Amino acid sequence: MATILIVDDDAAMREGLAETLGDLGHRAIEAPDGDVALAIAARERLDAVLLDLRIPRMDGLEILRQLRSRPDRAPPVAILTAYASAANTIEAMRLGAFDHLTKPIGRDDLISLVSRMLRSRTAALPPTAPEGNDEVLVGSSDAMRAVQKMIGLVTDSDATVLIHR
Amino acid sequence: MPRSIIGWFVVCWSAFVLASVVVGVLLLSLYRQTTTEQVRRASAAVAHGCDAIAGRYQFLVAGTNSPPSDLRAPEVVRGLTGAVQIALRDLPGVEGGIWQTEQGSLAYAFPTYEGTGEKTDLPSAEEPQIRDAAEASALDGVPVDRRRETQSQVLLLHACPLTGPIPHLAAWTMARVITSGGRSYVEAMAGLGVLLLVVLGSAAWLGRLLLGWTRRVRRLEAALAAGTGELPRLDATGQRDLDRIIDAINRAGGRLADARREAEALARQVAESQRLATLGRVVAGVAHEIRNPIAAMRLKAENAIAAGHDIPRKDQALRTIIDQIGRLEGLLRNLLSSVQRAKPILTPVEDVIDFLNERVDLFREQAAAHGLAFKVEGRSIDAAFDSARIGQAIDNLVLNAIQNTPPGGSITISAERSADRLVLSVADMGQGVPEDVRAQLFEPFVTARPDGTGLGLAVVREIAEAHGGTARAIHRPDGTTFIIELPWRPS
Repeated sequence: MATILIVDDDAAMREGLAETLGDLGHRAIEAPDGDVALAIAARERLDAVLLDLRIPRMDGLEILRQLRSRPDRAPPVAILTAYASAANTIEAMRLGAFDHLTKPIGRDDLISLVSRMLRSRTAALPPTAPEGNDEVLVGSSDAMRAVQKMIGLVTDSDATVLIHR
Repeated sequence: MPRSIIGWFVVCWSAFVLASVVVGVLLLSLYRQTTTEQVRRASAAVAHGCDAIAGRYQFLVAGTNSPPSDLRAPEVVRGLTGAVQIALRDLPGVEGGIWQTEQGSLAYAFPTYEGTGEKTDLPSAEEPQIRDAAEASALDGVPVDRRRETQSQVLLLHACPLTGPIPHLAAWTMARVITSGGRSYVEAMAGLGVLLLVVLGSAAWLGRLLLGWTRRVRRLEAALAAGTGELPRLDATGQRDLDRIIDAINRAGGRLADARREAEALARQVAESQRLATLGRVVAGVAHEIRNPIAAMRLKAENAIAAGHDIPRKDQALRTIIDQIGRLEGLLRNLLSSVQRAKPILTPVEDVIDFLNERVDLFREQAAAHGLAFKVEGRSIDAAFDSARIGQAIDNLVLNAIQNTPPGGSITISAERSADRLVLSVADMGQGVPEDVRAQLFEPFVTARPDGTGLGLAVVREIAEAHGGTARAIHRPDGTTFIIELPWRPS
């Protein structure tokens, strides 16, 4: 049994996620905003976090940054957002998000996501570089989203990346 | 100083006419002087001729004491005529003779006569004058001058007494000065004629020029006045100076039209990109607001299916789905009312303050839960507006203020009338609107709150504008005041 934190301001969404996680036999903790989420994160030992980007008072990316501030003991964090842009996808991946998914997320996708997260507790890059520049990448297809995620993952390394299709 | 080119032309032409008149007057006086001089010279010549005849006569009769018996004897006549002939030989235009009171003309000669042959007979037209002068001179023993002026000539007649053996004898000489038809007359008249022609010709030519110029300028003026907005394309007038200006105007007009077309294209591009940006924000907002309920419904439905025969769980899933459908419907209703302009239904409101209090009462409980207090300010005002929709707008603003004001703060709602405007305002004590959101604050889906739909203020603006009013925000250091300004109508 794993402990998974759900951060989302939408009660129905939280409940649906919690229900699915309960079905899988995990313990779900719900947080409606960033303050509650960080308080819980400080107190509990979390195995994974499902984080909405647009939540009251504190931006989802800011919560992600704080959750990932100590990468050695940080849980994997998956971003669930209703509106994915290239900028927030790359930024989330750069900050060490485990994955970046667009709502509506299906039950099977969620189950697969959670199992992947629990399997790779340690995989994630620490944030080291300052803010990237705001160049615009256009595209919202699955293939393009995969590219954007990859860019986010490698953006702080010195590797030269060829984007090829 | 004339201000138009026509004025200058008239001034120049007047100066030209003045000069012509002066030249004409000079020409005439010169001609008169010439005539006078000719007359003076001619009278000197006739006097001299007469003296010369007298001299010749004295020479002829020297030593003779008695008159010849027959004065008309051929040798006498020949002698006298010869004397006259010799005396007048060198005096051009002077004719003369010798006259005896009783016998009449004894001799006549005109040695410088310009006609063919020799002129030997006395000019009969002048005979009375000759007789008169000669007899007067012979009688009085002094020279006599007679002068007769006609239209075309001046006749100068001179008679001088001849003393000698023949009694009552006088010599006479005569010359004519032609005053019209003579060389100086023709010259003067030709000069005056040319002058007159030039004056009249130049007047006609100048008049035609000025008329043409005025007509062209007027046509240009009309063409320029007729153009709406853009500079009209002007036709050439055929006048080189004007055409140069017209070319310049046409070129400037072309450049202006190009610049305008460019500016319009740019403005269209900017408007289009602004429209796309707004649309982009709206669509992103719609996507966000719709995907959240859809995501919840999908998970609940899939969970319910996965639950198998757990009926309560299926029921609960259905209830959640129904809730979310209601949420979506509400979202769409708000979205539509933020862009659909319905004509407001005016209802009389006796006291706007009472109206505001009624709206605020709906939120007292909610405000108390947040630790907030309401203040409603303003004097009693009567007005007419769509109370249902203005009520909705006030509700949105009050709700907005409750969500933005930290606990312990207060929200001030006020109404006042200034001349023909009714101003309703809701002031919160929140953190203010972030700079990056201010410009689009009243657009749909623009919100500083992640939990807001961004439709509240869009609906407020739509209601205010439907009333012919405006909605705006004043950013104070200690919060934000939202103002709905409506045209005031009596209740």
